[in-house]
Amino acid sequence: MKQLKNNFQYEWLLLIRNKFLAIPIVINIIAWVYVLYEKSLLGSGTTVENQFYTYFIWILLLNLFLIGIIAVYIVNRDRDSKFEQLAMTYQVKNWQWLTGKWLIAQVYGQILTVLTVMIQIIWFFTAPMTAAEVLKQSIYTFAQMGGAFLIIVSFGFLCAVLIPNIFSYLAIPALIIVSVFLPFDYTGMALEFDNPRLHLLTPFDFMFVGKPYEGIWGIERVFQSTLIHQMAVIVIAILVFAFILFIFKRNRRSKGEKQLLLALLSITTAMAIVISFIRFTDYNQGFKQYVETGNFYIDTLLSDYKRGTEEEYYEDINKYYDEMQDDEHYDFSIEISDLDILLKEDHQLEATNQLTIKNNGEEAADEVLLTLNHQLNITACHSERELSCSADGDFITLTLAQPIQPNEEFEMKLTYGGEILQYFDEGSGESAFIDKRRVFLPKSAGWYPLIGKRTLFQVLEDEQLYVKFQIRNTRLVEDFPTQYNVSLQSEGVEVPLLMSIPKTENGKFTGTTKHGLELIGGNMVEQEVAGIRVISHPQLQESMSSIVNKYHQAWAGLKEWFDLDLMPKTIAVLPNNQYYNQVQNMTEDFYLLNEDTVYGEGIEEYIVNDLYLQVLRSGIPHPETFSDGGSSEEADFYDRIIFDELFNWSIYYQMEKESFTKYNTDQDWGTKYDQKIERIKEMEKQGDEYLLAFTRYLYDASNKLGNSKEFNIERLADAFEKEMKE
Amino acid sequence: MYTVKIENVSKSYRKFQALHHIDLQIEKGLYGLLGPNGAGKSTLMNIISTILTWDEGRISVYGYDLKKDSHKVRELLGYLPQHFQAPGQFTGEEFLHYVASMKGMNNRQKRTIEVQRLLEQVNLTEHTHKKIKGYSGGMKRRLGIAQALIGQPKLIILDEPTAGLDPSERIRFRNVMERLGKEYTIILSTHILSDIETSCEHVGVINKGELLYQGETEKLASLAEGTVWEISVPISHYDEVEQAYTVLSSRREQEQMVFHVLSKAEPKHRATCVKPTLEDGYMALINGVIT
Ligand SMILES: Nc1ncnc2c1ncn2[C@@H]1O[C@H](COP(=O)(O)OP(=O)(O)OP(=O)(O)O)[C@@H](O)[C@H]1O
Ligand SMILES: [Mg+2]
Repeated sequence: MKQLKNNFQYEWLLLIRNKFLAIPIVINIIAWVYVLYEKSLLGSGTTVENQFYTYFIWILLLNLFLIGIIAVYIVNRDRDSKFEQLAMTYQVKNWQWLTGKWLIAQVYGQILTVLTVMIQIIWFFTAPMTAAEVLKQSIYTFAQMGGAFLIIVSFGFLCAVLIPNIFSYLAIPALIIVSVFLPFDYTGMALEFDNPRLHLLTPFDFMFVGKPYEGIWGIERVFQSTLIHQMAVIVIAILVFAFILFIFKRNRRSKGEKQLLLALLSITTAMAIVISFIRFTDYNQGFKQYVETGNFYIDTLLSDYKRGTEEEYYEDINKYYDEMQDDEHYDFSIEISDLDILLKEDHQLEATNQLTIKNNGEEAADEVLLTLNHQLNITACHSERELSCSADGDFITLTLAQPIQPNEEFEMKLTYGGEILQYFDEGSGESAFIDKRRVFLPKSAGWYPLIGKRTLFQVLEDEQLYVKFQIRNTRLVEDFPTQYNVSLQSEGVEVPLLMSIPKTENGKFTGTTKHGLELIGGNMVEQEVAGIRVISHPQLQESMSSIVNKYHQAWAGLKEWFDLDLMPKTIAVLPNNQYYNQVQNMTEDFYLLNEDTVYGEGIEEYIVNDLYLQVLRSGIPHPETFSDGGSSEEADFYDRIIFDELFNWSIYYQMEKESFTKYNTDQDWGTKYDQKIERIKEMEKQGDEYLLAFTRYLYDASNKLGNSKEFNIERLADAFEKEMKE
Repeated sequence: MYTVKIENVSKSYRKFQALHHIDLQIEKGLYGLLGPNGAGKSTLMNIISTILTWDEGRISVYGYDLKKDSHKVRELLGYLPQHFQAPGQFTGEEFLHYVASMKGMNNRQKRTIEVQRLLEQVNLTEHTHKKIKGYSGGMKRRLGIAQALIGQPKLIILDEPTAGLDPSERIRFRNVMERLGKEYTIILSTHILSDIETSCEHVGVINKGELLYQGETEKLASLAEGTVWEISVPISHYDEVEQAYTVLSSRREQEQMVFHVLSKAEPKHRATCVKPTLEDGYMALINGVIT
């Protein structure tokens, strides 16, 4: 040990005297200074965690490369100078010689880890965060970076020992690329040649899409599995090093050394297998469930799909993406839903639901359908009316002894419970969960009974993907509103809980809506901005207040100029990637904003796009939804473009009061477009309000005329101007 | 009593055979290893220093089998490689400390005394605290000698220790070696025969991996008895002599050139047989004039 200490000390001297080894530290400092500068550019519109973890992955990768190279260098240096050969004539033992160097490389790597963690801690303390939170985040960073460096040093040594020439340096980037290539631009859709399970073979836990940080849920989801992953990494790092000692200068190795190494090798191998297995099963069960979900719903879209022409195929794809098709009319409604729900840690829920169901149709019926996720089990089904309940998949069929007449109502009571954990992105994310510090039950999880036979997930067969399907949640908007009275209790959940309907008293929520219920729990606060309830991460409170004000202006404008009442009662700011797929909830009751996109410059343009999408989603006909024809029966392409631009400008105008000409600069569609736009600019001389009025006129015309040839801007402008003069 | 016994040792680098069945016995004292470039001296020294393995034959060092008990041999060993390079970021003192610790001297105080002693021995006391990268070639060489001598090794192997040393340092080195030679076994290779002539009692001569001679240094010279001739010719005959004989030396005396040449038979030119030096003996051996 004393020998090792000496070796370490002298290696340390060499390390600190080598000017080149200061370079990585300088690079790190420059990188962080740049990040902080960038941060001030972006303004503080987002959480510090969000920013930190965005850059962290890059800095981690950069350092991984640098540390790997340094590890190779530390071995190569003495071999190339032949000093190693000389040292091999001394009594120093193989393990002492190599371990001294290995420890030095490790210390070097951990200096960078500590530097990063220190920057993180200081940065995080600038935000209102508790010490416990900061500690947890820094443990995460330390485990990720520290473990990654530990293992890259071991592999660096392995390369240097196995490849006794300059090519050992090339092995480092090669290794890093091989290991992180597959998960790197991981979108949650691994292609055919890929296997998401292989994404576990990385020097740091890469089981997330984009970044590990999930807004109001922080790093809670990844924390534990990352620690296990990194434990495995550490053990494997030691295992690899023991292997290096085992193969290094075998003729020089003493018997005792050999036996010790064999013991170390067997212990670390056993540990590595056990810990890796735990990590693997941890991920694999999520992945398996994701695949099961896909297979469970795969018929939903393709039941009428005949493997036929290309046309049919595209029709299906369009059907998959067109969430409007999720709405199926059903004559029955749930008038009142009294929901008593108990949430338990580990994704368990127990519920009792008192339902008042009404027949809004014109015919009597003796069968009523409900939808409830098949993950949940019905334990009781009662009614004063004589009925029988039967569940098949997500669907519950109530068969009544006496048919219900039109406008008749009846009451019933359902008791159900079970595990609601759901995964998205091939198990690298969770879309429905109940945990100690994070809860999310979106409507699309099917966690409470919905009226009718509703498809909870749409699945598209996709041969190019590893899992052979794509999956998305569905829109699920009811035909009739329901009055919900929710009584919410929880066990072991430590964070505040909120719902898409307002809270009346502690644990009680009441509201009437067609858009159903969503339940969120996490590190969040509630505030009211311009009459809209806003739920967000505490750090986003300030920036959200200005952003929601802008949204409010835009929504108010839509109401004023187009009679479109799209303003939501509640806005929740959730992280990116939190949805099964592309159906984002943007309803008048509950509007979800993506945390990643709500900060930075160009928020107004973002709002324009967002609201435009909302307009389309609310089912209002719009040029965008017209088919791409080009036949003489259809409206001119440029007319449609110009109307689009006018409409978007009118939303933008509510916030920025900028003229159309200014908004419309830099559009280059050619001469035909320029001629048509001249007419608009001519009208603009009458004032912005005049142009807004014309846009409204076009909007009405578009609703009436659709995409027919009649929708001709010049002709409509003539008519409008004539009307105005009168 | 032989301290190093080499029996029938052969070594090849892939296809190239660098040593052919070498048999060599070495006693306490200074032992010189001679041979032209590429003869296999370093190869043999590297083998004894436990760096290289060999293909066949046996070697024992102070009674230890070199193959089985190489760690025991390392405890006795001090080695200076032909191309010695120390990490330049160390000072001379730090480097020797480092080496001493790797040679198992864990007591810092003792180590300090030893390092000081050796720095004095190789005349580097002045440069104790200077970084090695600032050392001259000769200084580095002396530092190399010092590291070999750390820990009072019983077997000291020095591969061309005097290369790059100035004359006064060479004399100093020779004195140190002569003193150490009384107690320890020292094997050194060199191309400077005067280093060996005065201090080594025994020498071995290797050429192309084969041992041509081993025995007393003086006898190597006398081996060439009767084959070294002095020829005196006019300068104009210079080329003629060069072509006809192996020339050992030449000097000019007025209009005449005086040559020492190797020749088994008496040369055609007017020649007198002279008493051979060590160098003459060596040359005669290498050139196959004697066997
Ligand atoms: N690593 C090696 N691989 C292949 N051949 C080698 C290697 N090392 C030495 N040789 C060859 O073995 C022969 C002996 O080399 P060695 O270095 O022992 O000679 P030497 O007597 O020390 O010469 P010098 O006086 O030039 O130092 C040479 O022909 C050399 O080319
Ligand atoms: Mg040599």
